[in-house]
Amino acid sequence: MSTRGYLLLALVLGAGAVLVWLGLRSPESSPPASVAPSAPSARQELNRPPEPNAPVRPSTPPVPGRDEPPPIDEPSPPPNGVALRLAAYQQAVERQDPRPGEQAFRAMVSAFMEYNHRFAVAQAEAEGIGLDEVEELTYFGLMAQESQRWGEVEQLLDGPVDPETRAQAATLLDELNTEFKQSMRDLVKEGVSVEDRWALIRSVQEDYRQRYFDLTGMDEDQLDDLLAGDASRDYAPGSTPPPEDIEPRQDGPVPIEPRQGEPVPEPESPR
Amino acid sequence: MKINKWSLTLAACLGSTVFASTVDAALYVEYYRDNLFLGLAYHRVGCLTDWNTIQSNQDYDGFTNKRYCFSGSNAASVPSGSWYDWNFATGSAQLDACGLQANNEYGTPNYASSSNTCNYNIFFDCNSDCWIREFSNCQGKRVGTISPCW
Repeated sequence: MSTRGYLLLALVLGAGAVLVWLGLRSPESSPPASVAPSAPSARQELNRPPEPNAPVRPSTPPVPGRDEPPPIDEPSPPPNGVALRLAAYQQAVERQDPRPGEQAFRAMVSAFMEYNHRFAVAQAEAEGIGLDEVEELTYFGLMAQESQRWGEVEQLLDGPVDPETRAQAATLLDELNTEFKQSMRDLVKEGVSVEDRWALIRSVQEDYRQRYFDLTGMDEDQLDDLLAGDASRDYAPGSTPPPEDIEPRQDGPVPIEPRQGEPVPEPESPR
Repeated sequence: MKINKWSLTLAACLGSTVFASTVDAALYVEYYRDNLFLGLAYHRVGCLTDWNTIQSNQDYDGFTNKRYCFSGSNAASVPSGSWYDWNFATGSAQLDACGLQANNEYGTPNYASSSNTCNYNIFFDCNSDCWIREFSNCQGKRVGTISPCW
């Protein structure tokens, strides 16, 4: 055999080695999920319905130097969301709405949905539900996440929320989320009325709120304060009225002690 | 001369195998999102993968104790989560460093389920969305999030 023949043979053998290697490493030959003791079984993963409308994962591994991750194509926040939220809060306070925090939060979510209309439409079509339902469920998902910001919850409760309670609240959210998605998809499959779907949406929201209140000791007013945000920080509503149940201090502020070596200032003469 | 030919053959085989190994050995950070109530709200998490399987049990996310990344599991999805983005990774050290950076930024030491430093702002700028944004930015490709963050 000539040198060229050996070269050809080497290339064929080399290509064969590549194919064998890749074949052995295909996804089908992945180690079973039981490698990790706490991992869900492969059957569980197969039974879980894939999220419709999700980005498509490349079928083969991207190659360094050849492939690049795609540009961001995800819902994003509206540029004027904070101003809209603030305006909604002020308007709700002016009309003495009992839940200004919720109104402000909903206004922000509405702006978000409008800004991400394309994604909202795709989600509604993928799940077989209406745009208004997608908006309400987005509000609910964000509200539920917001309700578990424990630092603020502790401030509102004026006391600690123990780790066990936090974990139970997280589990509650996760379980309701899983159950709701299955129930809603079943209803859509059965072709029930829009009213029946809304009944399920209202039911899961009420269920979460009641169980969250029971678990944490929060109430409707405190939850609304949480949704309103902290008025003492940036973007705080300018129209927040002063507290009515606290008397102004009568004795004035405590005088500032002069630093060492600093001359004591003369008291100002009354104007 | 004969030895040289066999050497050439062996070198080509080895070279091809090394090439195949190099291609296959690429590591990735893959991102998954856990949809909340069929709306447009998600919890997002990153895992280290070789595209076929998840390579470590470390969840790259903050503000939750829920587990997603299980070493050895199929990388196409994680429990409760759908795949949505990816980037090349150099290894767990890189992802750990970015995880540490995000943990420091948002006060979630060791990927804690809540922050010990930020809890103040109005809408959602101290949450898992912002955590993954910080992490992915550090890692090399910022993923999409819905929170404005700071």
